[in-house]
Amino acid sequence: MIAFENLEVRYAATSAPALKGLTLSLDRGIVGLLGPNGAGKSTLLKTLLGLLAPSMGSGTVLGVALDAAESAKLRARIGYMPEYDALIEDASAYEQVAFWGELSGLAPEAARDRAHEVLYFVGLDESRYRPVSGYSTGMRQRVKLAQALVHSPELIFLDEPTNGLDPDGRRRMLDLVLRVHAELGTGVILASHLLGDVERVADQLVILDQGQIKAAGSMAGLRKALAKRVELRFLDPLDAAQEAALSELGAVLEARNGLYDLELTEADPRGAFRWAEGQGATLVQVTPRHDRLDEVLLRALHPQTGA
Amino acid sequence: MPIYAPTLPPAPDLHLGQPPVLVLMRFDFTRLWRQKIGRFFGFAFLMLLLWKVARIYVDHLLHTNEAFKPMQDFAKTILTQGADFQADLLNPASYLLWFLVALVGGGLVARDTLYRVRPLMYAHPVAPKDYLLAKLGFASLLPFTILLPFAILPWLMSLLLAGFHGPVWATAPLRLLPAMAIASALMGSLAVGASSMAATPRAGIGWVLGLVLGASTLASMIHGLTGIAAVDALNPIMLAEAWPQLFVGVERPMVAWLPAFLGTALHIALWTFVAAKRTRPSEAVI
Amino acid sequence: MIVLDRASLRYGPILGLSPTTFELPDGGGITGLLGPNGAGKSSLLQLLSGLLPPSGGDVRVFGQAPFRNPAVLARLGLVPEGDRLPTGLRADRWLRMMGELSGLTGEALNAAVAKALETVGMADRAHLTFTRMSKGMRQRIRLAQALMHGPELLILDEPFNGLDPEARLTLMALLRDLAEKGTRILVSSHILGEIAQLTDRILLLFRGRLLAEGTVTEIRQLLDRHPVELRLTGEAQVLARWAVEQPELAAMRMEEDAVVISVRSPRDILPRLQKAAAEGGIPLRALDPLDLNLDAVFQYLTKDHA
Repeated sequence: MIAFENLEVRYAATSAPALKGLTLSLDRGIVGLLGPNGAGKSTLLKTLLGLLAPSMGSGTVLGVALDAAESAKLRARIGYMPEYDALIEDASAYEQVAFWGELSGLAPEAARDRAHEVLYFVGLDESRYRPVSGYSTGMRQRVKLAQALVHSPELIFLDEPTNGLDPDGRRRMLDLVLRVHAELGTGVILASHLLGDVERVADQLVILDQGQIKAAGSMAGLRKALAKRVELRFLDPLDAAQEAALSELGAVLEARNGLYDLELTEADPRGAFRWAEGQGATLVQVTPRHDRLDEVLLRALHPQTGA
Repeated sequence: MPIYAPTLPPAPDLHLGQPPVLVLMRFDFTRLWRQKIGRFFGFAFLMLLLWKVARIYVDHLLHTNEAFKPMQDFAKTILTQGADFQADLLNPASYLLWFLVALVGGGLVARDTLYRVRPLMYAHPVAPKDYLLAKLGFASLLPFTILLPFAILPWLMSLLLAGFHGPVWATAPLRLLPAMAIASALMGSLAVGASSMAATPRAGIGWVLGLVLGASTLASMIHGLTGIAAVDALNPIMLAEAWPQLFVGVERPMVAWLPAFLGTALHIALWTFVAAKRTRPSEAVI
Repeated sequence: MIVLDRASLRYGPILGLSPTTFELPDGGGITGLLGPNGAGKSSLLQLLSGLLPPSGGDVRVFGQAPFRNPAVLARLGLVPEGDRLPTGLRADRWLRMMGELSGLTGEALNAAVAKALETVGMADRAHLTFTRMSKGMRQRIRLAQALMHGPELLILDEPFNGLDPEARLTLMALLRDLAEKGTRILVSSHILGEIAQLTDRILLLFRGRLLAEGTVTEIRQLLDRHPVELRLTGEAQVLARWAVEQPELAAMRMEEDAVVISVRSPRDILPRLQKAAAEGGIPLRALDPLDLNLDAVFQYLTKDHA
């Protein structure tokens, strides 16, 4: 989907590079893009859209080389859902989605048909004929997603798609993102500050900081299983004696809200069941511990601390 | 008997679309239509047009009907004649037209700034020059379209009533159309330039009116103080009125050829430059 | 510490909070305040922090009504929603100003500012103006402002909004630390995952009323019409054969290398499962409850009452 080779991007010939030494290869899938504010996420986006030309190195997006001559053609094959409310407030959802479709190169008739289809896809029914100024946050986000999908792009870039949504709206938006990839086969790049969102949908991860890639790869590869580590939870809270006895099983590294993170003395997690049976406690959770996304992120951002 | 999956059908062709300039202009036109500000202006311009056409008929009557013979000389003194009359056809209360241009043009760019849709446009296959061209085109086409019947209908009327010897010259459209085009381009570029400096459509209207009236006041003040008539070429209202006069060759045009040319070129270049600067992608940082 | 007795809030004709009764006991700890948009979270926080009087009923914080009551407000810290600060001002000067509003002067003020900045880890950067700070830094200054007078109750409305992941983690660690030192903290958030990381005590508001209060586990047990889903990882065939013999089984589906069973009363089946696994009767490598978490509790509660 995307391949960069030592890519460098500057805003002006004299300014410091906003992105440097980017070497990256991503498969068509859902890519989570993480990084602090100002890490270079929007620069990366502009480069992908062909709005900024690389000052060094090379890159291809959807098989098209990143250079000025091809950028308009490339943009027609990419969809973009901005973070802020880029909605035409006095136009209805249908009207503006059709408009964006036409701007991507659809014929007027085709754009209107596609607008209706895409609005059904994101779940906007009757309200599509009303001006968007009266829409709720959830509906506005869905119009923005529809706008990015109307020309059936091969790659869409979603910038904080769950911003301002409540838990239910967030769940629905993430389900949509999964469907976009699963049903339409569209590649997705999801920039988010919410690790939970990325964890839920992404199969690949890119961590960007100060214009450089700090970590990239498949989610499974980055979140390694930790040997001998398990997380335990019990049906009823342990009493003090039981908690003390946990050390027979292994070292308790962290205990929070009834969840115990243990490093077992023996590799087999089944020992936990035997221990609980002996202690008269009942386990509801025994799961091997993987790296959490926040640990992956912190390790990538601060390699020197060796967390 | 298949069951069709409830997902989107195959991708449509992306090469059949219209050029972005046209798409953008059509969208602005739909909005203008929806806003319904046309009712007042439509009525006002229609009345003016009727008056112009009626005048041709009155003129015709004065010349052909014996009963009006005694009034002919008097009529000649109060009604414009000859070249002045031709130029006057395009003067449908120029203030009204400026006001309409401000009302519509003021929001053209400012609305996109307010809704923050310009960065998203540039994320589509739309180049900044497409955007600028669409806005300038729309803002200029609007006054041109309104002036068009004023140039054509009285001419047709005159041709029908009196043939080649009517009050409107047979060659009038040839002279009026280029004048209209220049005046419309002036109006359009001014409106777009002013609109690009505003953050909301309302402020945009204010900017257009402020620029037009401000420039006119300034020009007439300098004219009054120094006595240099050429300064009037900075006055957009006068410029718009002067072009038809120049093209039909009235005896004493408001502004002479050279100042009019320089002043118009200055205005168009300046406001186009301002608009281009203010709608650059880098301004619209994502 | 907090008592609401049929307290309600209306803004003219608009409903903020329906008459609500509940009690939060004394002591440290974090409580998450959850609910969909328009559920009444901000209304509740406004009542508790004394910004508005209840339209009806009674609100008591530390045993008194908080509205325009300095005795309560002095013991309470508020971090309101949003990111609005006087742009050109230096953070430490702003903090001093806020401290003076709380009645601190002289040495006490200096000490309070220094201590609050120390707590939020901004001691070395407080001389910056707000314009030059990142969102995370500004959020920490806002927190410092609420901490300066050593409040016993800290109220935060959507404090994580707009922060990048690292700033979120830092702020969470900070809140956990404060809670451990005895501050009672009430946090509202839209992001269930963050609340789950912070605490398991929640208050759930829905359509202007209180829907649930307690720990996630307690609340989940009350939702007994939703069977609990357990993923048993191991040899799926053998595990499935064991599961179908259990009377509590409501549904089952196979996955590669695992079976997911829905059971009505986990209290009965879990001990048997554990015994079988401990004695080597079933090849169980991992046990994962899929809907004993905050996400599931929130979804079931709001769906059941919709």
